Amino acid sequence: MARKDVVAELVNRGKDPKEMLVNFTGTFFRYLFLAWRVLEEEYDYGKASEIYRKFSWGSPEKAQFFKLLVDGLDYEVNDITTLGKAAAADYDGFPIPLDIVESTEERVILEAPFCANPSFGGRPWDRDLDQYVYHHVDGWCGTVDLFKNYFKVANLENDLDFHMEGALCTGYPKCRFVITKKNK
Amino acid sequence: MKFSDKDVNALFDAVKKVGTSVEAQAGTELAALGMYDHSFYYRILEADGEDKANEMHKKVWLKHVKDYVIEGKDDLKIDKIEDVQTVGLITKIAFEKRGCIFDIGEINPDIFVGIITRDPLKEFVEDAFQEEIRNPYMRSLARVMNSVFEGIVEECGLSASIEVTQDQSLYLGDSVTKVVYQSK
Repeated sequence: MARKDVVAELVNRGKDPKEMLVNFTGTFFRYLFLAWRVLEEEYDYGKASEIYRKFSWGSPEKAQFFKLLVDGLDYEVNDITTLGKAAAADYDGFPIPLDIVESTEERVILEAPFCANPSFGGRPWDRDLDQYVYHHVDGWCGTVDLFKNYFKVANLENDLDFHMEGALCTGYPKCRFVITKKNK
Repeated sequence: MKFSDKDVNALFDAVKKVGTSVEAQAGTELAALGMYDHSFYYRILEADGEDKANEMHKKVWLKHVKDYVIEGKDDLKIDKIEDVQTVGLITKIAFEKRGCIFDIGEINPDIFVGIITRDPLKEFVEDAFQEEIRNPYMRSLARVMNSVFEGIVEECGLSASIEVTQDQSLYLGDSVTKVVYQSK
């Protein structure tokens, strides 16, 4: 028997949905940062970043959930433009609204003026230096891993390329992702 | 943790823009937490074995304890933590911020009994990854929770005066997780 939605149960108990959203978003992004901190303390940079990237945006679990999303779309994801649309649909879940600012058969450009990470991951007692290294691994390398996951799920690994041109968490005014056709 | 109005408003704007509800997005954040805690554990297990995965899993959650105590004091509007009841309330606040259903079984100057009837993290991994009680990850979660309860008491500076016991665990097949803080 399906369980009752835990959020609905919390609402029935008088919890404010808006307050819950803020708390849960903060808890999730805080988890990622603290996971990185533990990996960084335990391993050298190479192994820490490898494990981080393999458990987060580049994980098989993330691919599994993107596959579920793709299977539920009302269009087939089989080329550069539909991949761009599907990526934006996946980002909706974070929630990061991605603006598709260009979409042609040669190039798709996606931009995000908002991301909950870094806003909800940091705390006043954190060091900026620790945050910066983390955001490089999570926001920059992690996004590359995420798009590799997208390409793999859509069987477009050999057809598409990806360029990071900006990430809010590493000081850019917007996240900017560029998908191009791969030079063959 | 109080986030800035600007960040909170940006989050709600993003939720509106992607066309979901506040409640659904809150559930998505909890699911993301479950997914990445699960994959964090298994990537380390795959790389370095179960003992290391257990150790690192515990370290990640213990990293949250400092946040729990600072944020709990802030929510309760207190500067000092001097008794069992306050430690219990801080624990309740911490677990509710990650979506658990946390009831108070008993509270008085000498004893606090906390009862967790639902943990969305556990429920997500059961549904999404067919995790079963007594699997390595679930056994680890049971130990992690015990360490967090002890860690909260330690962070409050009350290890010498408060005893912690966890005699039931959701992750080991019990119907609830039960934590008892008792004055020594």
